[in-house]
Order: sequence, then C-alpha cells, then structure tokens
Amino acid sequence: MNWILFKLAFRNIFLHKMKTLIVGSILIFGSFLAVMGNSIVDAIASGMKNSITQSVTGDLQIYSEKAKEALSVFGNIDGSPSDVGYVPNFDKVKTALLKHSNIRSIIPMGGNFALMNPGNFIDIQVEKLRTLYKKKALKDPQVSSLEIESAKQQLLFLLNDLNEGVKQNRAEVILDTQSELESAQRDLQIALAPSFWEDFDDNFESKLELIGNKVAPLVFDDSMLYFNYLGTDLEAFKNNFPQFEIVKGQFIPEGERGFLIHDYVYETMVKNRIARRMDEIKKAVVEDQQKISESKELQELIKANKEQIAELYLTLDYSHKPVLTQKLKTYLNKEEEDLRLLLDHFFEIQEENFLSRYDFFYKEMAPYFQLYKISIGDVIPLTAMTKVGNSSAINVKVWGTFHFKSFENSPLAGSFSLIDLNSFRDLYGFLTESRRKQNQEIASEMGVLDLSKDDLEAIFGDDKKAEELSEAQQAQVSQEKIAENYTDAPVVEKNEAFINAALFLKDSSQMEDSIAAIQEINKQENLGIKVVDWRSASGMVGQMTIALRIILFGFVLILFMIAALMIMNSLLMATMERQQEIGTMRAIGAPKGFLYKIYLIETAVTSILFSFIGTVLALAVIYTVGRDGIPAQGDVAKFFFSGPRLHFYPQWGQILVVFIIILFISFIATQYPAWRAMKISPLRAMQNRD
Amino acid sequence: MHPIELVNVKKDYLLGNVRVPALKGVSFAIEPGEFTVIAGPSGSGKTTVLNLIGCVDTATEGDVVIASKKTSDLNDRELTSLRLNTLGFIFQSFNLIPVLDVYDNIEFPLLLKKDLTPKQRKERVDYFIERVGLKNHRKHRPSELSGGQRQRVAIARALVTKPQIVLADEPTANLDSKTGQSIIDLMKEINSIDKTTFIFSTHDYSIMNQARRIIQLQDGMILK
Repeated sequence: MNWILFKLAFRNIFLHKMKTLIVGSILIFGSFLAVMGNSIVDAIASGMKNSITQSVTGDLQIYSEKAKEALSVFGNIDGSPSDVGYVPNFDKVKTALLKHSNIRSIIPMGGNFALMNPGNFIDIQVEKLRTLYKKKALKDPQVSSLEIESAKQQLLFLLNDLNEGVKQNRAEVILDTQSELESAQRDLQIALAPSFWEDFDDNFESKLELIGNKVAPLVFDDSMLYFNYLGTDLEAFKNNFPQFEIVKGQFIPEGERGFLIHDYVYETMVKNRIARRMDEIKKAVVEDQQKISESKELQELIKANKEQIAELYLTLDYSHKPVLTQKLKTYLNKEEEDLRLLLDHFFEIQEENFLSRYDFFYKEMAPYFQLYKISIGDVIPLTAMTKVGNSSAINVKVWGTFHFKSFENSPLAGSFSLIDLNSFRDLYGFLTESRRKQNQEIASEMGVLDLSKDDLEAIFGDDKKAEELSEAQQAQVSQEKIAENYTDAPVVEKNEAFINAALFLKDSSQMEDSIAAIQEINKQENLGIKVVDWRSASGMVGQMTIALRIILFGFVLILFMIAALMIMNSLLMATMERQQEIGTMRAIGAPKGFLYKIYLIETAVTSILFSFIGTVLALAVIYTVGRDGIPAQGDVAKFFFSGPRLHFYPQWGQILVVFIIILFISFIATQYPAWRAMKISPLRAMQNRD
Repeated sequence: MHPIELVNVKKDYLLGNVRVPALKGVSFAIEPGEFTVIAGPSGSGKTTVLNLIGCVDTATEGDVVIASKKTSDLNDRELTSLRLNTLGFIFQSFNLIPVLDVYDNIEFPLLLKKDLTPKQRKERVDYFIERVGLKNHRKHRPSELSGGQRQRVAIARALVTKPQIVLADEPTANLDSKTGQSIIDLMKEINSIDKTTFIFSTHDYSIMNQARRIIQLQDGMILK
C-alpha cells in the first residue's frame, strides 16, 4: 500500500506550492551549507593541523606536570608565553619515551620573547666607530685608516642632517625639557664645528661620548625590536619539521650558537619601514588589484613614507650621496641638488608612476641604503626575561632567516624565530654547563672591572681620558667582551632542562593510544611530565576549527529549526483543510497509525528530496571549486589552508550525519500535526462540505 | 440474528452548556438483506441514527448492536476494524480522495484490509468498477467526473470490501432526480442480487417510497 501513502504525501507537497518552496529553499540552503561548510571546515582543520604540527608543535607536546598554566605554544592571549615551568632533565625523558614504539622523535623546546634595541642612527654610527678604533688599537690588520675616515664622514653626515632637521623643525625630538633640548642643540653645534674633528682620532672616546650621550638623544629612537623565539635543538628541529627552509643566509652550523629570524618577521619588522610600505602598496596594487586613488589606506602609506624619508635617508652611506643624487635627478628629470628634496619628489607616488618607482627603488636606490635594521651575519644583543623575572642578555649571531614551505608569509607560523637551546637556556636563566665554566673563568680573572680598566688605558694610551669613563661604561665594555666570548661557546649540552618538547609519532592516527602510553611511562618512570595533543598545545589557535564548526553547526541548526517550524505549520494547515478527508478515511476503516504514516512519509519526502538537492549542489561545488581550491586571501588564510589554496573534498560520514539530523528534525516536526490528525473524529466525514 | 439492533437509544448533544436531545429512546432492528430508509425532516435525528450504526458516534444511553457486537463495549481499534470489515459508507457529498483516481479510490479500503493478494484485489476492484458502469473512467480523478459518476465510485468503494451493511447518508441529495434515481436503482440491484443490507437516510418522498421499509423519525423519536 506504500504507493498510496506516497501519493497522498506528494499531494500535500504540491498543494501548498509556496510553502513547499520556502521550506524547500531553507532545506536546500541548510543542507548545502552543512555539507559544503563541513567539507571546508574539515579541510581547514587538516590544513591547520598540518600548519601547526609541521611548524611548531609536532603531534604531541610534553611539559612539566607542575605547570601553573596550560601550555600554549603560540603564547597567551596577551602575547606572553604561558607559565609552564620546566622539566629538569631532557635526556632522562627522551630515553624513557623513545622506548614507546610509536614515538619517532622528541625535540626539546622553550618559548620566550626578547627585546633588541639597535639604537638610533647616530648611536649605531658611534658604536661602529668605537669598535673600529678599538680594533685598530688591537692592531687588527683588517681595519684601515681609510675605513675609520669614512665612518667619521658618515657620522658628520648624520650630524649635519640632524642639524638641518633641527633648523627646519622636522627633527623628531624626544627630550623632555626645554633646557635639555637647548643643551643638546649646543652640543650639536660643538660637534659640527671643524675644530671638533681636527683632533678626533686622538680624543675619540670623549668625542664619541659627547655625540652618543648628548647629541644622539635628539633623534627619535623607535627601533626597538621584539622577537618571539623558540629555543630548540636546531638540528633535530630541521630534521623533523620537513617544511622548514632557510631563506636568507645559512643554517646554524652544527655546534655553533646562533639565531634564525623568521623571514616574515625579518621582512615586516626588521625591514626599513619605507621599503616595507612600498612592498605593501605593491601587494595591494598587483595582487589585490586595488587603486591608489580609491584606497585611503594606500594613500596613508604613501603619506607616511613622504613624512618619514629620514628613516631611509639616514641609513645612506654618505659616500654614495653624489651618485644617488645624480640618479634621482636623471630619473625624476629635476635640476634639484638637495637629495632630501629629490627623495621628497620621488615619494610623491601616484597610480601611474608607482610600479616604475617601485622598480627604481629596489634596483637603483636600495643598494645604497641599509634596508634591514639587522643584517645577516650581525651579532645582536638580545635581552629577555629569565624564568624568575630578571632580565638577561646575550649577544648572538644572526645566521639567516627561515620559513615553512607553503605558508611562508603566515604571521602565525612566523610568530617565532629560532635560537639554539643553550642560548635559550642562558636567556631563560638556567645555569648551563658552559655558563658555569664561564663564571669560574671570570671569577679567576680577579676582578673584571680593574682588568678592563687596565686594558682600556693600554689601548687609549691616555690615562686621563680613560679615567673619565664612568664605571658603568667600563662595565659595559667588559660585559660585551664576555658576551662576545660567550657567543662562541660550543653547544654541548643536550641533556639539560627544557620547557616543553615536541613529539613526532610514527603513526599519528594512533594519537590517543600514544598519549595513554606516555602517561603510563610517565607514571612508571616518574618523569614529571604532562602530555597534550597538538590541538591543545596550540591554545586558542588550535581551538579555532572547533569554534568554526560550532558556529557552522549552530547556524545550520537554526536553519533546520526554521524549516522544522515551517514544516509543522504547513502540516497543521493541511490537517485543518483535510479534516473531512481524514474523517472519511477514519470512517471507512483507516486506523490512526495509517494517518501517522501519511504524515511521516510526507515530511520525509519533503526533507529527503530537498536536502538531497542541497547535498547534490554542495557536492557539485565541492567537486569543481574544491578540486581547484579556494585561493588563500591573505597570509593568515595561507596558514589555515596550509598552502596557497584550500582544496576540499566530500566528507561522506558527515553528509550522512546531516541527513540523519534533517530526518530527525522533520520527524519531531511531524509529531504534533500527526497527533492532531489522529484526534480527528470519523464524524467529520458526515459533515457536508456545502 | 439481526445485523443491526437499536435498543432504547438516546443521544444528547451539548450546545454550550445546554443539553440538546437528538434521540429520545429509539429502538428498532433490521433484518439481513433489508433495504431500509430512515426518513424525516431536518433535525429529526436521521443522521444521528446513521452515525451510531456507522460506529462513528456513541450513544448516550441504550445499546447499539452491530453484527452481534455492542458498540459501547468496543475500543477505538475494534470500532475501526468493525467499520472496515462490516460496514460500507456512502456519503452525501461522496467524500472521494481527490488525488486518487477512480481505481485507487475503490481499492483504498482493500489496502487497509490487507487480506487479499494484489491479483485478488485487482479482480475485485475491476468487478465493482464494471458493476457501477465506470469501466471507461478508471483512470479519471474525481474532479473529472460528474456528481452521479462520483457517487457510483463511492458506492463501489463502499461495496468493495463486501460488507454486511451499507450505510448511505442522503446519497441523492446532491444529485438531480434522474441521476438520483439511477443511484437508487443501482443500490436496489445490488441489494437484491448480493443480499447486502442497505440502510439510508433521505427526505425525498419519491425515493422513500421505493424502500421496502421506512423508519420515520420526528424530534428524535420513531413515528411509525
């Protein structure tokens, strides 16, 4: 008799076409969204898993079971590293855990952040000159008088520019009081006097001190750099994160200490701001097809570049000034001789001239400027907070930059740089073996300050001047000396403390079992560790797909609820309209169950039919768009997509779930109207229609 | 044994808070194969009597016995089964199911009965379609038929389960006199050949006079 039931069911669907159409559209849209959304969220989830596990976390993370906070490798919401304490003995943990057959490797890690202040342009030049003098005094054959002369000229060049700035009121001065400002300006005039430079070589320390301490504060100093970094066993890191790739410079040679900056950070934070803005404009114009004339944002960038030409100008090597002036004169077709004014003209950027100027900037101008605040090969001072809250500083060499293939520019994957484990431990305040040795050596050098003072006197050959150096400065010199030596200390200690460690599994589908096994080993061997999966270890970032899924399902569920209400409403209306017919069926012997079945089939037909259409549409989109992939808009998207495009595929299991949910909801929606229908008395059949 | 027996049946309806008596103690019995008319003016209680016999309503007092079963003793399921297996209904406004064609409408009660094979079902439906003279209309929807044709379909539907009793509530009221007469003729023919008990209500004298027995109602009581 089923076909009669179907006939009756279909009838109602066609009887209320408009209502059916609305319910149908909602069901089509809902199932389309559910199927498609799920497929996309799944693709994002697996992309994110890849991005996170292949850039930071590995499959699992372990950390101290005494941790005060849950581990979040991307840091807390406020950007601070999570307070998870540390595990004292890496070797013991490693040996114990590697006994489990599914663990492929363990990489010790620790996250922290450091500040680096390269100083302002004048500071940097003063420091450069001071180093040259020192090296010359130590008879370094690589330092020539010519080089010192050139550095002096550069300093003079910077001071002249500063003077111009002060005169034209365009210097970005940060001195607090008027008297300080006036005194600094007086000192600037002293430094600019020809007589000041006549005996410079003989009295360089006091002259440099004057410039560095009194004049340099006239220049606004905003070049503080902030690095999130991960201290790790770099060899192991490189070997276990296959998407890791050196971009500039080189990998830290085995046994050496060093720092690798994420290329994204290098290109966005370390790069000169003028150049960075040029890059941003280029990306917007070329990749995103934006028009400068229509974009307020781009106009702001151009304006900022024009206003901050000094940022570029002051990194210019004075000796290149004539060449660059000539080049710009020719390019801009101007008779102007003042390089600043020429640069001013150059950065008057419009729609038509942008691409040409961008090319000229990088091809013809960039070689004369210092485009990055840190050059590859520089030894930089890093200051970080130790585990007990003191500040700790080391000098460390920047060997190069790196990224993770297929999400190169992602700010998330690029949120940290890499440092060798020992430098990390020093910055974090662990007493490493080499530090201990170093401390002993220093102590045996019987009073660091006296020694360095003697040294300095020997270097200067002028007792009086040397005595004028403050104690603090002398301490700084000796500290630098220590740090320099220290940077060269070999990496020998792999068996010491670590904050957290990444675990790679041979079979990552066995994650739950492996977690249980590790917990068991931890209990037996008393390792004092806690184990979490990558999702939990990545904190908020890892929970994002769950949030996405909840939002998607919430939205779809609301749609289905609306559909269910409309189904119920339409069935109730139909019940009212069909009272006589239902009464007739009852009168001629149809049991209540028969009516119930009609209602059930009617909603089942509606919901299956329309959700099937929605699913087919979604599958069509999945097979066409999903196969080609959605292009990642922006760098964050690349991280979530784990590549330049997001490819997604049908998730059959979830399609089934969507179907079951739809059927369940329509089943619920049927109950009340069906109950009402079953209550209709067969007496209704006797009531005449007319 | 009487297929239908009413013993001092009373039926009150509630109109708001007022109790309105529709039947004030009606008793009669119908012999098997009888062709009986229940006559009377509007409001005399004709339809109430038919509803009680048709097991779609229950008496306030007294006994309604259908095929030896006291209807007041039966639950909903048993009453439904009684309607399906023992009774056939013909309604004043035909009450066909609009989406089903002639054949499906007639087959409908057989599908509910579930005691015939598809082949037997088809034979039975074909027989009754032919019997009511709608052989050439089997694929027509009710909306494509005239009033008389529709009532023939209803008669076939009422007869297809071979019920002991066929109830008809003013079966000719919505038909012109000629068509009405042909319907009465068909019912009489079936009654005389199959010995099916027919009981129907009417207020049409020309039809009333063709019945073998007339139960005349007035104000809820039998006149003669």
